[in-house]
Amino acid sequence: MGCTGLPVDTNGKPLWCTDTRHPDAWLSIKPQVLHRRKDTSRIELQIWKPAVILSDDESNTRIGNRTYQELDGWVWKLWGGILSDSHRKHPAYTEWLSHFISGNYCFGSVHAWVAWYITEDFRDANMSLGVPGYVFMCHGVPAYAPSSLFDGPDSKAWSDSSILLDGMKCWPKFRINKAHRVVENICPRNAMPRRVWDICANKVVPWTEHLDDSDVVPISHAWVHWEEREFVTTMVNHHLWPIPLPRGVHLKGIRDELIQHNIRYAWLDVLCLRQEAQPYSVPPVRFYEDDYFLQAEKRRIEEWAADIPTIGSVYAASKQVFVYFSGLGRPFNAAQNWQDVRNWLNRAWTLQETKNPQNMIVGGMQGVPVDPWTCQASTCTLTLGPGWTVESLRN
Amino acid sequence: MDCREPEKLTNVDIGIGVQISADGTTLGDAINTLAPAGRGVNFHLLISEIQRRSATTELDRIRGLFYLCGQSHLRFPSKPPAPVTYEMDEEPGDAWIRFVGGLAANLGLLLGRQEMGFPDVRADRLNFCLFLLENFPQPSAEHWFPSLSQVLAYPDISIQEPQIQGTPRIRASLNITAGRLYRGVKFTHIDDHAYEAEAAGAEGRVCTATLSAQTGVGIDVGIITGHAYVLLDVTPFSHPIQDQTPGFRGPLSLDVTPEWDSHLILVCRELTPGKTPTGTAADYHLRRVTSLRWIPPETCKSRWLPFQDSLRTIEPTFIVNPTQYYKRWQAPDPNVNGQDQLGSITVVLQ
Repeated sequence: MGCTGLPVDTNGKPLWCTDTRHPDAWLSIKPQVLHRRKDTSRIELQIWKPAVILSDDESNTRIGNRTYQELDGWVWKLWGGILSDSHRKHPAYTEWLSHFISGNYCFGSVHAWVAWYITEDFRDANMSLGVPGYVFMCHGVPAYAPSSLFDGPDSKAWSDSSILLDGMKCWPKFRINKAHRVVENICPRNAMPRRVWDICANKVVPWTEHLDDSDVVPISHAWVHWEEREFVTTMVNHHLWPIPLPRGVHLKGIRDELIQHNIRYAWLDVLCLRQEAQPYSVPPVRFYEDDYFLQAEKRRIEEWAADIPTIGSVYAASKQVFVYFSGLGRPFNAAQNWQDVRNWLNRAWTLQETKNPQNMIVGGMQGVPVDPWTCQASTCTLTLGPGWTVESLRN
Repeated sequence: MDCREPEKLTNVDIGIGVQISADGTTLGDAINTLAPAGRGVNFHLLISEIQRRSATTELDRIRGLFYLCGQSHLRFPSKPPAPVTYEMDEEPGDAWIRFVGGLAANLGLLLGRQEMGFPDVRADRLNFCLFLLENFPQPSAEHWFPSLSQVLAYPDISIQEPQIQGTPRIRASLNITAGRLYRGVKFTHIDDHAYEAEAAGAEGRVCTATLSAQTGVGIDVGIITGHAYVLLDVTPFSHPIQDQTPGFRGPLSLDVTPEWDSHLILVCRELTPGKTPTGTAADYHLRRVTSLRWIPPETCKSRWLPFQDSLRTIEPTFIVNPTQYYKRWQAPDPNVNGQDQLGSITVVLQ
């Protein structure tokens, strides 16, 4: 069965980025390893206070012919409350802004970068700016090459790392020692995903160390039936792959809802986790059919090897989960078939995404005059075995 | 977020009424049941949910377990029980073995978890293994725990798998370092779910004890009358610190108290009979046949089985002083409790 609605132009050419090795695509490095610090006085509040929400248009607008002074002025306008003169005079600031201009990045990418730049973490990383390969530019925001990827913090290791990562030869599944030998193929225990959705900037950005794990709200949903999905391309994820969404649902609606709940960063699988290529789409994609889909699938498998194990960390670390019980972005429907195999309550995958109701935000409640927690669902989750009751389970 | 307007809207108006269940279960009830506010995991519920829910692939069920048990929001250990990897082509059964094997690593240390001050989250690893040992009397073909197919048939626990001889394909042993071990125990059937165990007692006399099926259900657990088995008591124990006098204490000391009223007794056979290790720190490989329970009769002075433990597992010994209470490895004192000792061993339960 073919999927419908893949975004292609009138010639059948894909509207998303089909070059899996495009320099603007995300590096296949391992997910970020977040080394928690005991110093809790850092940045958490700093990145929240000046969170200016960009409109879609502003986020997607490219810098174009604007000068350094104009871009600096734009940053100052949005971040003036916290961006100090020392920030702006720092050589790294100049270097990065110049890079944004030369690369004609979107304002959303710059906005997301500033959120990281103002943190203490950046100043730490900044000391390593002179080390090739340590900090990468990914769509205008820096991404770490995590130190855990390599054995030893000595300069030789860093030198090797730059060679590997610049060439994107790093198989994400493995740890690699200085001799470029695979020594381990496990995912770090505290690894977080490689991408996160910056709601204010409306851009998917690397999950850098400035993020407090608990400030990222994962979005839980059960995928709707195949035939109810459609694919869209969006600059939110830099057109890296088509986004599967329930028919009629728009990312803007989801983002608006997250903003209403004061959510700064979110993790949404369709945006932050590379999705499968769709070689059997209707209409067929005429370009790159053979090579693109092969490469895209290879790339996805590489990324999933590193990214899938990290999903649990997002839900475990988060204080809250944003959940759509009736399909991603869809209004809550109390009268839905709670026993359907595709219902959120009946999916094995969503079990690990479950938190206590007080820590779950139910999405799609706008204009729905019900309390989702007291609407009657079904006994399906509680018919567990002979003689068992709800009370005995709780005990 | 209470948007109800019961005075203005009827159930029909707001769409409720179509799915009203017989017992009035609400969505909040269901979620509350899945994510209890208190500590501890309801393993019955966990297993049941995993088998009840639908998944795109069977492997997804196991991945969910990796997530659940590797994370803290359901009070499992803060660290994943095993390396979290994503293998596209991994067999679900193999993923399950890898999962349990990771949980079981070095759990023997945790038998005396309370007095050792282990974090509760680590104790949950032990609890899950004990749950499997306690609730699945039939081990899998290769390992001490049930296979995935046996688990997915829960609560039907009668499914037997023919025991495979030799080394398991995937290593998932449970190393027990602080259990109590009794050799040469023979059984006699009493009825469908009870057995009389007979072995040499501490003073050389023949002692007996009545052991019963953990589940109370009579199923064929493969015990052969007259055959000599090895019993392993893996009941968690506590060792209350009653004073701050410096000294050494080990889990096999008499003043160690079992945490449970009902002892969890593993009935095992030796994998290498005739090659019983006698040196210290040697491995002693056992294969679980089934699990039974023993409740000390009121007339029993000791809280432990009356049999003589002819082998000792290696035990962590604790140094107590007024400011610290920590463990260090030490071979048991051969004269403890006046019992003979052939060796201090690590039991490898396969």
